[in-house]
Amino acid sequence: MNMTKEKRNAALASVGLLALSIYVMACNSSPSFSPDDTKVLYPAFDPVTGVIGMSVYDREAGSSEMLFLLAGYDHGSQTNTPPCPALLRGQWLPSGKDVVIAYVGPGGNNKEGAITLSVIPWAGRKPVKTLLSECDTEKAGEFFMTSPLCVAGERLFYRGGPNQLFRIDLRTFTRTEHEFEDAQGDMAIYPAPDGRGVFYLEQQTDPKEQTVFGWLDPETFSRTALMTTTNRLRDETSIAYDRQGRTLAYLEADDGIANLTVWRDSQVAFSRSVDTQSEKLAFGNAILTASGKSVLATFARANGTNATSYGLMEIPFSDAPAREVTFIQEAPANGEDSVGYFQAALSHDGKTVAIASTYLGAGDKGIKPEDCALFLVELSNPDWMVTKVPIPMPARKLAESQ
Amino acid sequence: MIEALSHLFAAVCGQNPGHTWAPGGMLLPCCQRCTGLYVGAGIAALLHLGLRPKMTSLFLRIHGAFLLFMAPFGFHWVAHGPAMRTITGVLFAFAVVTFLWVPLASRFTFHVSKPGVWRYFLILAATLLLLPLAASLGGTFVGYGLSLLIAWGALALAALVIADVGLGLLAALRWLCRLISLRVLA
Repeated sequence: MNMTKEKRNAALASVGLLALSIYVMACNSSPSFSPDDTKVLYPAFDPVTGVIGMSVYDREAGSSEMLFLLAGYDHGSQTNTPPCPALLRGQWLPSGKDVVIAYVGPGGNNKEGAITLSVIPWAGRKPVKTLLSECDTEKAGEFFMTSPLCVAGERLFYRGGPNQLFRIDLRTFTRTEHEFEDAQGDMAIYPAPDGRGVFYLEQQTDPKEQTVFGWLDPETFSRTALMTTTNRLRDETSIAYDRQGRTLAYLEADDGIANLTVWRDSQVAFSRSVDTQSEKLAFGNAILTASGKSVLATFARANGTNATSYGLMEIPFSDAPAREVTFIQEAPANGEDSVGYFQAALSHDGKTVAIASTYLGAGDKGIKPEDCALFLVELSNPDWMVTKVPIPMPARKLAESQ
Repeated sequence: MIEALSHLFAAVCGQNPGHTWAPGGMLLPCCQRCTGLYVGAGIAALLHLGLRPKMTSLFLRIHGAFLLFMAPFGFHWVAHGPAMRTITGVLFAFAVVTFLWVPLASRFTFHVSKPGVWRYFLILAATLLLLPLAASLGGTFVGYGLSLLIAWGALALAALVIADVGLGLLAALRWLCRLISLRVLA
Protein backbone atom coordinates (compact mmCIF):
# COMPACT_ATOMS: atom_id res chain seq x y z
CA MET A 1 0.00 0.00 0.00
CA ASN A 2 1.12 3.51 -0.73
CA MET A 3 2.82 4.90 2.40
CA THR A 4 1.22 8.36 2.10
CA LYS A 5 -2.22 6.83 1.80
CA GLU A 6 -1.53 4.62 4.79
CA LYS A 7 -0.56 7.71 6.81
CA ARG A 8 -3.70 9.52 5.69
CA ASN A 9 -5.86 6.56 6.70
CA ALA A 10 -4.16 6.35 10.08
CA ALA A 11 -4.72 10.10 10.57
CA LEU A 12 -8.41 9.76 9.65
CA ALA A 13 -8.85 6.84 12.05
CA SER A 14 -7.12 8.86 14.78
CA VAL A 15 -9.48 11.77 14.15
CA GLY A 16 -12.42 9.37 14.44
CA LEU A 17 -11.07 7.88 17.68
CA LEU A 18 -10.31 11.28 19.17
CA ALA A 19 -13.73 12.68 18.27
CA LEU A 20 -15.45 9.64 19.76
CA SER A 21 -13.41 9.91 22.98
CA ILE A 22 -14.19 13.63 23.35
CA TYR A 23 -17.87 12.92 22.74
CA VAL A 24 -18.06 10.15 25.35
CA MET A 25 -16.23 12.25 27.95
CA ALA A 26 -18.40 15.29 27.27
CA CYS A 27 -21.59 13.30 27.59
CA ASN A 28 -20.54 11.68 30.84
CA SER A 29 -19.19 14.59 32.86
CA SER A 30 -20.99 14.80 36.16
CA PRO A 31 -20.68 16.60 39.46
CA SER A 32 -19.78 14.74 42.66
CA PHE A 33 -19.05 15.29 46.33
CA SER A 34 -16.81 17.77 44.67
CA PRO A 35 -16.79 17.00 40.95
CA ASP A 36 -13.58 14.98 41.31
CA ASP A 37 -14.82 13.19 44.47
CA THR A 38 -11.79 14.39 46.40
CA LYS A 39 -13.54 16.86 48.70
CA VAL A 40 -16.57 16.78 50.94
CA LEU A 41 -18.58 19.79 52.02
CA TYR A 42 -20.02 19.32 55.50
CA PRO A 43 -21.36 21.36 58.45
CA ALA A 44 -18.92 22.00 61.30
CA PHE A 45 -18.63 24.21 64.38
CA ASP A 46 -16.48 27.30 64.39
CA PRO A 47 -14.26 26.79 67.44
CA VAL A 48 -14.14 30.54 68.20
CA THR A 49 -17.78 31.61 67.98
CA GLY A 50 -19.46 28.24 68.31
CA VAL A 51 -21.71 28.89 65.33
CA ILE A 52 -22.17 26.26 62.67
CA GLY A 53 -20.51 26.84 59.35
CA MET A 54 -19.55 24.78 56.31
CA SER A 55 -16.17 23.08 56.06
CA VAL A 56 -14.47 21.32 53.19
CA TYR A 57 -12.66 18.05 53.90
CA ASP A 58 -9.88 17.20 51.48
CA ARG A 59 -9.86 13.40 51.25
CA GLU A 60 -6.34 13.23 49.81
CA ALA A 61 -4.72 15.60 52.31
CA GLY A 62 -6.88 14.35 55.20
CA SER A 63 -7.48 17.90 56.40
CA SER A 64 -10.43 20.27 56.72
CA GLU A 65 -10.84 23.95 56.03
CA MET A 66 -13.68 26.20 57.23
CA LEU A 67 -15.34 27.82 54.23
CA PHE A 68 -18.36 29.71 55.48
CA LEU A 69 -19.80 30.99 58.74
CA LEU A 70 -23.13 32.64 59.36
CA ALA A 71 -24.46 34.05 62.62
CA GLY A 72 -27.56 36.05 63.36
CA TYR A 73 -29.39 37.73 66.22
CA ASP A 74 -33.15 37.57 66.53
CA HIS A 75 -35.17 40.71 67.30
CA GLY A 76 -34.82 41.50 71.01
CA SER A 77 -31.99 39.04 71.51
CA GLN A 78 -30.46 39.52 74.98
CA THR A 79 -27.12 37.78 74.44
CA ASN A 80 -23.74 39.10 73.35
CA THR A 81 -22.66 35.96 71.55
CA PRO A 82 -24.17 34.57 68.36
CA PRO A 83 -27.07 32.62 69.79
CA CYS A 84 -28.62 30.23 67.32
CA PRO A 85 -26.87 27.48 65.43
CA ALA A 86 -27.75 28.06 61.81
CA LEU A 87 -29.09 25.11 59.83
CA LEU A 88 -26.99 25.43 56.72
CA ARG A 89 -27.15 23.33 53.61
CA GLY A 90 -24.46 23.26 50.99
CA GLN A 91 -23.86 21.84 47.55
CA TRP A 92 -21.03 21.91 45.03
CA LEU A 93 -21.95 23.42 41.71
CA PRO A 94 -21.29 21.17 38.70
CA SER A 95 -18.19 23.12 37.66
CA GLY A 96 -16.55 22.30 41.00
CA LYS A 97 -15.37 25.90 41.16
CA ASP A 98 -18.16 27.20 43.39
CA VAL A 99 -20.23 26.09 46.33
CA VAL A 100 -23.78 27.22 47.08
CA ILE A 101 -24.91 27.47 50.69
CA ALA A 102 -28.54 27.97 51.66
CA TYR A 103 -30.04 29.06 54.92
CA VAL A 104 -33.47 30.03 56.23
CA GLY A 105 -33.71 32.30 59.23
CA PRO A 106 -34.28 35.81 60.49
CA GLY A 107 -33.61 38.48 57.93
CA GLY A 108 -35.20 41.02 55.67
CA ASN A 109 -37.92 43.38 56.82
CA ASN A 110 -40.72 40.96 57.54
CA LYS A 111 -41.39 38.61 60.42
CA GLU A 112 -41.52 35.57 58.16
CA GLY A 113 -37.74 35.63 57.74
CA ALA A 114 -35.68 35.14 54.61
CA ILE A 115 -33.92 32.58 52.50
CA THR A 116 -30.23 33.35 52.11
CA LEU A 117 -28.22 31.90 49.26
CA SER A 118 -24.46 32.39 49.02
CA VAL A 119 -22.34 31.36 46.08
CA ILE A 120 -18.79 30.95 47.33
CA PRO A 121 -15.84 30.55 45.00
CA TRP A 122 -13.70 27.53 45.78
CA ALA A 123 -11.21 27.67 42.92
CA GLY A 124 -9.82 31.14 42.20
CA ARG A 125 -10.44 34.57 43.60
CA LYS A 126 -13.93 35.88 42.86
CA PRO A 127 -16.49 37.81 44.86
CA VAL A 128 -18.75 35.91 47.23
CA LYS A 129 -22.32 36.51 46.06
CA THR A 130 -25.18 36.50 48.55
CA LEU A 131 -28.89 36.73 47.82
CA LEU A 132 -31.41 37.51 50.53
CA SER A 133 -34.94 36.63 49.50
CA GLU A 134 -37.73 37.46 51.93
CA CYS A 135 -40.23 34.67 52.56
CA ASP A 136 -43.77 35.54 51.48
CA THR A 137 -45.41 33.43 54.15
CA GLU A 138 -44.47 31.86 57.45
CA LYS A 139 -44.71 28.46 55.79
CA ALA A 140 -42.23 29.34 53.04
CA GLY A 141 -39.23 28.73 55.28
CA GLU A 142 -40.68 25.42 56.38
CA PHE A 143 -41.23 24.32 52.77
CA PHE A 144 -37.67 25.30 51.94
CA MET A 145 -36.15 23.36 54.80
CA THR A 146 -38.23 20.21 54.40
CA SER A 147 -37.25 19.78 50.75
CA PRO A 148 -33.81 18.56 49.70
CA LEU A 149 -31.49 21.28 48.40
CA CYS A 150 -32.29 21.08 44.72
CA VAL A 151 -29.48 22.33 42.49
CA ALA A 152 -29.62 21.60 38.77
CA GLY A 153 -26.75 22.96 36.76
CA GLU A 154 -26.25 26.52 37.94
CA ARG A 155 -29.83 26.95 39.11
CA LEU A 156 -31.39 26.32 42.46
CA PHE A 157 -35.04 25.33 42.84
CA TYR A 158 -37.11 25.63 45.98
CA ARG A 159 -40.73 25.37 46.99
CA GLY A 160 -42.51 28.46 48.17
CA GLY A 161 -45.81 26.67 48.79
CA PRO A 162 -47.56 23.33 48.11
CA ASN A 163 -47.74 24.09 44.37
CA GLN A 164 -45.35 26.98 44.04
CA LEU A 165 -41.79 26.72 42.81
CA PHE A 166 -38.99 29.26 42.59
CA ARG A 167 -35.96 29.02 40.34
CA ILE A 168 -32.88 31.08 41.11
CA ASP A 169 -30.18 31.50 38.50
CA LEU A 170 -27.04 31.36 40.64
CA ARG A 171 -25.00 33.42 38.15
CA THR A 172 -27.42 36.34 37.88
CA PHE A 173 -29.70 35.72 40.91
CA THR A 174 -32.68 36.07 38.57
CA ARG A 175 -35.74 34.63 40.31
CA THR A 176 -38.51 32.92 38.35
CA GLU A 177 -41.74 31.91 40.02
CA HIS A 178 -43.92 29.09 38.76
CA GLU A 179 -47.32 27.95 39.96
CA PHE A 180 -48.42 24.41 39.12
CA GLU A 181 -52.00 25.33 38.35
CA ASP A 182 -52.89 21.93 36.93
CA ALA A 183 -51.40 19.96 39.86
CA GLN A 184 -53.82 17.56 41.50
CA GLY A 185 -52.05 17.54 44.84
CA ASP A 186 -48.95 18.75 46.68
CA MET A 187 -45.78 18.91 44.65
CA ALA A 188 -42.38 18.00 46.07
CA ILE A 189 -39.11 18.34 44.18
CA TYR A 190 -35.92 16.28 44.36
CA PRO A 191 -32.55 16.82 42.72
CA ALA A 192 -31.39 14.32 40.11
CA PRO A 193 -28.44 12.41 41.63
CA ASP A 194 -26.04 13.79 39.02
CA GLY A 195 -27.17 17.38 39.55
CA ARG A 196 -28.47 17.73 36.01
CA GLY A 197 -32.13 18.18 36.65
CA VAL A 198 -35.13 17.94 38.89
CA PHE A 199 -37.57 15.16 39.70
CA TYR A 200 -40.99 15.80 41.18
CA LEU A 201 -43.48 13.87 43.27
CA GLU A 202 -47.10 14.86 42.87
CA GLN A 203 -49.30 13.41 45.59
CA GLN A 204 -52.65 13.32 43.87
CA THR A 205 -55.82 13.00 45.87
CA ASP A 206 -58.40 13.61 43.20
CA PRO A 207 -59.88 11.69 41.36
CA LYS A 208 -57.94 8.94 43.14
CA GLU A 209 -55.14 8.75 45.63
CA GLN A 210 -51.86 8.09 43.87
CA THR A 211 -48.36 9.49 43.60
CA VAL A 212 -46.87 10.53 40.29
CA PHE A 213 -43.09 10.58 40.00
CA GLY A 214 -41.66 12.40 37.05
CA TRP A 215 -39.18 14.72 35.43
CA LEU A 216 -39.47 18.48 35.67
CA ASP A 217 -38.01 20.44 32.79
CA PRO A 218 -35.72 23.00 34.47
CA GLU A 219 -36.27 25.44 31.57
CA THR A 220 -40.00 25.36 31.03
CA PHE A 221 -41.26 23.76 34.29
CA SER A 222 -43.19 21.26 32.14
CA ARG A 223 -43.68 17.86 33.74
CA THR A 224 -43.16 14.41 32.23
CA ALA A 225 -44.65 11.62 34.32
CA LEU A 226 -42.27 8.66 34.58
CA MET A 227 -44.32 6.42 36.84
CA THR A 228 -47.45 6.35 38.95
CA THR A 229 -47.48 4.56 42.27
CA THR A 230 -50.27 3.76 44.68
CA ASN A 231 -48.21 4.21 47.86
CA ARG A 232 -49.64 6.64 50.34
CA LEU A 233 -46.69 8.71 51.46
CA ARG A 234 -46.30 9.67 55.08
CA ASP A 235 -44.09 12.41 56.48
CA GLU A 236 -41.54 9.80 57.54
CA THR A 237 -41.38 8.03 54.16
CA SER A 238 -37.91 8.24 52.66
CA ILE A 239 -37.61 8.00 48.91
CA ALA A 240 -34.68 6.97 46.74
CA TYR A 241 -34.37 7.02 42.97
CA ASP A 242 -31.84 6.47 40.24
CA ARG A 243 -30.55 9.21 37.99
CA GLN A 244 -32.83 8.28 35.12
CA GLY A 245 -35.93 8.01 37.27
CA ARG A 246 -36.50 4.39 36.24
CA THR A 247 -36.41 3.05 39.78
CA LEU A 248 -38.20 4.56 42.75
CA ALA A 249 -37.92 3.11 46.25
CA TYR A 250 -40.05 3.95 49.28
CA LEU A 251 -38.65 3.18 52.73
CA GLU A 252 -40.59 3.44 55.97
CA ALA A 253 -40.13 2.17 59.50
CA ASP A 254 -43.23 1.01 61.29
CA ASP A 255 -43.06 -0.51 64.80
CA GLY A 256 -39.51 -1.72 64.26
CA ILE A 257 -40.20 -3.18 60.83
CA ALA A 258 -38.57 -1.51 57.84
CA ASN A 259 -40.82 -1.69 54.79
CA LEU A 260 -39.21 -1.27 51.41
CA THR A 261 -41.16 -1.02 48.15
CA VAL A 262 -39.37 -0.70 44.83
CA TRP A 263 -41.22 0.54 41.76
CA ARG A 264 -40.19 0.26 38.13
CA ASP A 265 -42.34 1.34 35.20
CA SER A 266 -45.37 1.96 37.44
CA GLN A 267 -45.23 -1.58 38.80
CA VAL A 268 -43.98 -2.95 42.10
CA ALA A 269 -40.73 -4.65 41.14
CA PHE A 270 -39.86 -5.75 44.66
CA SER A 271 -41.01 -5.35 48.23
CA ARG A 272 -39.76 -6.67 51.53
CA SER A 273 -39.81 -6.10 55.25
CA VAL A 274 -36.82 -6.15 57.55
CA ASP A 275 -37.16 -6.76 61.26
CA THR A 276 -34.87 -4.11 62.71
CA GLN A 277 -35.14 -5.50 66.27
CA SER A 278 -36.16 -2.21 67.75
CA GLU A 279 -39.61 -0.87 68.34
CA LYS A 280 -38.47 2.63 67.73
CA LEU A 281 -36.54 3.01 64.54
CA ALA A 282 -36.59 5.94 62.16
CA PHE A 283 -34.90 6.50 58.84
CA GLY A 284 -33.20 9.70 57.72
CA ASN A 285 -32.67 10.00 54.00
CA ALA A 286 -32.45 7.08 51.58
CA ILE A 287 -30.17 6.73 48.55
CA LEU A 288 -30.10 4.13 45.80
CA THR A 289 -26.69 2.45 45.50
CA ALA A 290 -24.73 2.72 42.25
CA SER A 291 -25.57 -0.87 41.32
CA GLY A 292 -29.29 -0.10 41.75
CA LYS A 293 -29.67 -3.33 43.72
CA SER A 294 -30.06 -1.93 47.23
CA VAL A 295 -30.93 1.17 49.16
CA LEU A 296 -28.81 2.95 51.77
CA ALA A 297 -30.44 4.87 54.61
CA THR A 298 -29.32 6.57 57.79
CA PHE A 299 -31.20 5.42 60.87
CA ALA A 300 -31.81 6.26 64.52
CA ARG A 301 -32.66 3.39 66.85
CA ALA A 302 -33.96 3.87 70.39
CA ASN A 303 -32.00 1.92 73.00
CA GLY A 304 -34.48 1.86 75.88
CA THR A 305 -35.98 5.22 76.74
CA ASN A 306 -32.88 7.31 77.35
CA ALA A 307 -30.50 6.60 74.51
CA THR A 308 -30.42 6.48 70.74
CA SER A 309 -27.89 4.98 68.35
CA TYR A 310 -27.25 6.33 64.86
CA GLY A 311 -25.92 4.49 61.85
CA LEU A 312 -26.18 3.50 58.21
CA MET A 313 -28.20 0.57 56.86
CA GLU A 314 -28.14 -1.12 53.45
CA ILE A 315 -31.24 -3.06 52.45
CA PRO A 316 -30.79 -5.22 49.34
CA PHE A 317 -33.55 -5.70 46.78
CA SER A 318 -33.47 -9.42 47.55
CA ASP A 319 -34.03 -11.63 50.55
CA ALA A 320 -30.40 -11.20 51.64
CA PRO A 321 -30.06 -9.78 55.16
CA ALA A 322 -29.78 -6.03 55.64
CA ARG A 323 -26.37 -4.75 56.59
CA GLU A 324 -25.68 -1.95 59.03
CA VAL A 325 -22.95 -0.04 60.76
CA THR A 326 -23.49 2.03 63.91
CA PHE A 327 -21.47 5.21 64.29
CA ILE A 328 -22.91 6.58 67.54
CA GLN A 329 -23.85 4.07 70.22
CA GLU A 330 -25.24 5.98 73.17
CA ALA A 331 -26.55 9.40 72.25
CA PRO A 332 -29.15 11.13 74.41
CA ALA A 333 -32.69 10.39 73.22
CA ASN A 334 -33.79 13.38 71.18
CA GLY A 335 -36.85 11.87 69.57
CA GLU A 336 -37.08 10.07 66.27
CA ASP A 337 -37.19 13.29 64.28
CA SER A 338 -33.55 13.96 65.12
CA VAL A 339 -32.50 11.46 62.44
CA GLY A 340 -33.51 14.17 59.96
CA TYR A 341 -30.32 15.95 61.02
CA PHE A 342 -28.22 12.89 60.24
CA GLN A 343 -28.30 12.60 56.48
CA ALA A 344 -26.05 10.74 54.08
CA ALA A 345 -24.61 11.71 50.70
CA LEU A 346 -23.22 9.29 48.13
CA SER A 347 -20.15 10.14 46.07
CA HIS A 348 -20.72 10.14 42.33
CA ASP A 349 -18.55 7.09 41.81
CA GLY A 350 -20.93 5.36 44.23
CA LYS A 351 -18.08 4.11 46.39
CA THR A 352 -18.24 6.39 49.43
CA VAL A 353 -20.97 7.60 51.76
CA ALA A 354 -20.48 10.72 53.88
CA ILE A 355 -22.52 11.58 56.98
CA ALA A 356 -21.89 14.38 59.48
CA SER A 357 -23.25 14.33 63.03
CA THR A 358 -22.73 18.07 63.56
CA TYR A 359 -26.40 18.93 64.06
CA LEU A 360 -26.83 16.11 66.58
CA GLY A 361 -24.22 17.93 68.64
CA ALA A 362 -25.91 21.30 68.29
CA GLY A 363 -29.06 20.58 70.27
CA ASP A 364 -29.56 21.04 74.01
CA LYS A 365 -29.09 17.32 74.61
CA GLY A 366 -26.08 16.97 72.35
CA ILE A 367 -23.97 13.94 71.58
CA LYS A 368 -20.58 13.30 73.22
CA PRO A 369 -17.70 15.34 71.73
CA GLU A 370 -16.03 12.16 70.44
CA ASP A 371 -19.18 11.28 68.48
CA CYS A 372 -19.25 14.59 66.65
CA ALA A 373 -17.61 13.70 63.36
CA LEU A 374 -17.77 13.38 59.62
CA PHE A 375 -18.09 9.66 58.87
CA LEU A 376 -16.86 8.41 55.50
CA VAL A 377 -17.86 4.85 54.67
CA GLU A 378 -15.97 3.05 51.89
CA LEU A 379 -18.65 0.85 50.35
CA SER A 380 -16.15 -0.77 47.97
CA ASN A 381 -14.33 -2.22 50.98
CA PRO A 382 -15.99 -5.55 51.93
CA ASP A 383 -15.78 -4.56 55.61
CA TRP A 384 -17.20 -1.08 55.00
CA MET A 385 -14.13 0.73 56.24
CA VAL A 386 -15.18 3.87 58.17
CA THR A 387 -12.99 6.97 58.34
CA LYS A 388 -13.95 9.22 61.22
CA VAL A 389 -12.98 12.86 60.82
CA PRO A 390 -13.49 14.58 64.19
CA ILE A 391 -15.52 17.78 64.19
CA PRO A 392 -14.23 19.80 67.17
CA MET A 393 -17.04 21.09 69.32
CA PRO A 394 -16.80 24.69 70.51
CA ALA A 395 -15.56 25.35 74.05
CA ARG A 396 -19.06 26.38 75.14
CA LYS A 397 -20.53 23.06 74.01
CA LEU A 398 -17.67 21.10 75.55
CA ALA A 399 -18.28 22.77 78.91
CA GLU A 400 -21.97 21.89 78.70
CA SER A 401 -21.25 18.27 77.88
CA GLN A 402 -18.86 17.78 80.84
CA MET B 1 -33.10 -5.94 28.80
CA ILE B 2 -33.59 -2.18 29.01
CA GLU B 3 -32.41 -2.19 32.63
CA ALA B 4 -29.20 -4.01 31.73
CA LEU B 5 -28.56 -1.73 28.73
CA SER B 6 -29.26 1.34 30.84
CA HIS B 7 -26.72 0.15 33.40
CA LEU B 8 -24.11 -0.47 30.67
CA PHE B 9 -24.66 2.88 28.96
CA ALA B 10 -24.40 4.72 32.28
CA ALA B 11 -20.63 4.38 31.85
CA VAL B 12 -20.59 6.36 28.60
CA CYS B 13 -23.70 8.56 28.69
CA GLY B 14 -24.97 11.22 31.06
CA GLN B 15 -28.53 9.73 30.71
CA ASN B 16 -30.17 13.05 31.52
CA PRO B 17 -33.87 12.07 31.69
CA GLY B 18 -34.85 15.49 30.33
CA HIS B 19 -32.79 14.75 27.23
CA THR B 20 -33.85 11.13 26.72
CA TRP B 21 -36.49 9.81 24.32
CA ALA B 22 -39.28 7.84 25.97
CA PRO B 23 -41.27 6.04 23.24
CA GLY B 24 -44.44 4.65 24.80
CA GLY B 25 -43.29 6.02 28.18
CA MET B 26 -40.20 3.78 28.14
CA LEU B 27 -36.95 5.67 28.60
CA LEU B 28 -34.26 4.61 26.13
CA PRO B 29 -30.95 3.51 27.66
CA CYS B 30 -29.09 6.64 26.56
CA CYS B 31 -29.77 10.32 25.86
CA GLN B 32 -31.16 11.77 22.61
CA ARG B 33 -27.74 12.61 21.15
CA CYS B 34 -26.30 9.21 22.08
CA THR B 35 -29.38 7.55 20.54
CA GLY B 36 -28.44 9.29 17.31
CA LEU B 37 -24.80 8.32 17.77
CA TYR B 38 -25.35 4.60 18.39
CA VAL B 39 -28.28 4.04 16.00
CA GLY B 40 -26.37 6.06 13.38
CA ALA B 41 -23.19 4.07 13.99
CA GLY B 42 -25.04 0.78 13.62
CA ILE B 43 -26.62 1.86 10.34
CA ALA B 44 -23.40 3.42 9.01
CA ALA B 45 -21.46 0.23 9.76
CA LEU B 46 -24.07 -1.84 7.90
CA LEU B 47 -23.96 0.57 4.93
CA HIS B 48 -20.17 0.41 4.72
CA LEU B 49 -20.32 -3.37 4.85
CA GLY B 50 -23.19 -3.72 2.38
CA LEU B 51 -22.81 -0.83 -0.07
CA ARG B 52 -19.08 -0.16 0.24
CA PRO B 53 -19.27 3.44 -0.98
CA LYS B 54 -16.15 4.75 -2.67
CA MET B 55 -14.01 6.76 -0.23
CA THR B 56 -13.33 9.67 -2.53
CA SER B 57 -11.81 12.87 -1.30
CA LEU B 58 -15.25 14.56 -1.55
CA PHE B 59 -16.87 11.74 0.42
CA LEU B 60 -14.30 12.15 3.20
CA ARG B 61 -14.61 15.95 3.21
CA ILE B 62 -18.38 15.71 3.58
CA HIS B 63 -17.88 13.44 6.58
CA GLY B 64 -15.31 15.85 8.00
CA ALA B 65 -18.01 18.52 7.83
CA PHE B 66 -20.43 16.16 9.64
CA LEU B 67 -17.84 15.82 12.40
CA LEU B 68 -17.38 19.58 12.71
CA PHE B 69 -21.15 20.08 12.64
CA MET B 70 -21.26 18.51 16.12
CA ALA B 71 -19.09 21.22 17.72
CA PRO B 72 -21.58 24.14 17.96
CA PHE B 73 -24.33 21.82 19.17
CA GLY B 74 -22.26 19.50 21.36
CA PHE B 75 -20.68 22.45 23.17
CA HIS B 76 -24.11 24.12 23.47
CA TRP B 77 -23.07 27.25 21.59
CA VAL B 78 -26.33 26.99 19.67
CA ALA B 79 -29.67 26.40 21.37
CA HIS B 80 -31.35 23.28 19.97
CA GLY B 81 -34.06 20.77 20.78
CA PRO B 82 -34.46 16.98 21.01
CA ALA B 83 -34.66 16.32 17.25
CA MET B 84 -31.51 18.32 16.55
CA ARG B 85 -29.66 16.47 19.32
CA THR B 86 -30.46 13.18 17.62
CA ILE B 87 -29.65 14.51 14.15
CA THR B 88 -26.23 15.79 15.22
CA GLY B 89 -25.62 12.40 16.88
CA VAL B 90 -26.43 10.57 13.62
CA LEU B 91 -24.19 12.81 11.48
CA PHE B 92 -21.38 12.51 14.00
CA ALA B 93 -21.77 8.72 14.00
CA PHE B 94 -21.61 8.49 10.20
CA ALA B 95 -18.41 10.56 10.25
CA VAL B 96 -16.76 8.57 13.03
CA VAL B 97 -17.65 5.22 11.48
CA THR B 98 -16.36 6.38 8.08
CA PHE B 99 -13.03 7.55 9.50
CA LEU B 100 -12.64 4.36 11.50
CA TRP B 101 -13.59 2.33 8.44
CA VAL B 102 -11.04 3.92 6.06
CA PRO B 103 -7.96 1.97 7.26
CA LEU B 104 -9.90 -1.29 7.26
CA ALA B 105 -11.35 -0.71 3.77
CA SER B 106 -7.88 0.07 2.37
CA ARG B 107 -6.25 -2.87 4.07
CA PHE B 108 -8.76 -5.46 3.00
CA THR B 109 -9.30 -3.85 -0.43
CA PHE B 110 -13.08 -4.12 -0.50
CA HIS B 111 -14.54 -3.60 -3.96
CA VAL B 112 -16.31 -0.27 -4.35
CA SER B 113 -19.49 0.60 -6.20
CA LYS B 114 -20.52 4.07 -7.32
CA PRO B 115 -24.33 3.66 -7.01
CA GLY B 116 -23.56 2.69 -3.42
CA VAL B 117 -22.75 6.31 -2.61
CA TRP B 118 -26.20 7.53 -3.62
CA ARG B 119 -27.94 4.82 -1.70
CA TYR B 120 -25.66 5.54 1.25
CA PHE B 121 -26.69 9.21 1.39
CA LEU B 122 -30.32 8.35 0.74
CA ILE B 123 -30.38 6.00 3.74
CA LEU B 124 -28.54 8.63 5.81
CA ALA B 125 -31.24 11.19 4.94
CA ALA B 126 -33.97 8.66 5.79
CA THR B 127 -32.30 7.99 9.16
CA LEU B 128 -32.12 11.71 9.92
CA LEU B 129 -35.81 12.04 9.20
CA LEU B 130 -37.21 8.82 10.63
CA LEU B 131 -35.19 8.36 13.80
CA PRO B 132 -36.43 11.48 15.66
CA LEU B 133 -39.96 10.80 14.37
CA ALA B 134 -39.92 7.18 15.56
CA ALA B 135 -38.43 8.12 18.92
CA SER B 136 -40.95 10.87 19.56
CA LEU B 137 -44.09 9.21 18.18
CA GLY B 138 -43.39 5.50 18.58
CA GLY B 139 -44.77 3.15 21.20
CA THR B 140 -43.15 0.55 23.42
CA PHE B 141 -42.28 -1.77 20.49
CA VAL B 142 -40.42 1.07 18.81
CA GLY B 143 -38.64 1.64 22.13
CA TYR B 144 -37.46 -1.97 22.21
CA GLY B 145 -36.43 -1.80 18.55
CA LEU B 146 -34.44 1.37 19.08
CA SER B 147 -32.81 -0.10 22.18
CA LEU B 148 -31.66 -3.08 20.10
CA LEU B 149 -30.32 -0.75 17.41
CA ILE B 150 -28.49 1.27 20.08
CA ALA B 151 -26.91 -1.93 21.42
CA TRP B 152 -25.93 -3.03 17.90
CA GLY B 153 -24.44 0.40 17.15
CA ALA B 154 -22.39 0.36 20.35
CA LEU B 155 -21.05 -3.11 19.46
CA ALA B 156 -20.21 -1.98 15.92
CA LEU B 157 -18.37 1.08 17.22
CA ALA B 158 -16.48 -1.00 19.77
CA ALA B 159 -15.47 -3.50 17.07
CA LEU B 160 -14.23 -0.71 14.79
CA VAL B 161 -12.23 0.90 17.60
CA ILE B 162 -10.65 -2.45 18.53
CA ALA B 163 -9.82 -3.22 14.88
CA ASP B 164 -8.23 0.21 14.34
CA VAL B 165 -6.26 0.08 17.55
CA GLY B 166 -5.08 -3.40 16.52
CA LEU B 167 -3.99 -2.10 13.10
CA GLY B 168 -2.25 0.83 14.78
CA LEU B 169 -0.34 -1.51 17.07
CA LEU B 170 0.64 -3.70 14.12
CA ALA B 171 1.89 -0.67 12.20
CA ALA B 172 3.87 0.49 15.22
CA LEU B 173 5.39 -2.96 15.56
CA ARG B 174 6.34 -3.01 11.86
CA TRP B 175 7.91 0.43 12.18
CA LEU B 176 9.88 -0.69 15.23
CA CYS B 177 11.15 -3.81 13.43
CA ARG B 178 12.20 -1.69 10.45
CA LEU B 179 14.01 0.73 12.73
CA ILE B 180 15.86 -2.11 14.45
CA SER B 181 16.84 -3.74 11.16
CA LEU B 182 18.11 -0.38 9.81
CA ARG B 183 20.28 0.04 12.89
CA VAL B 184 21.62 -3.49 12.56
CA LEU B 185 22.50 -2.84 8.90
CA ALA B 186 24.18 0.43 9.83
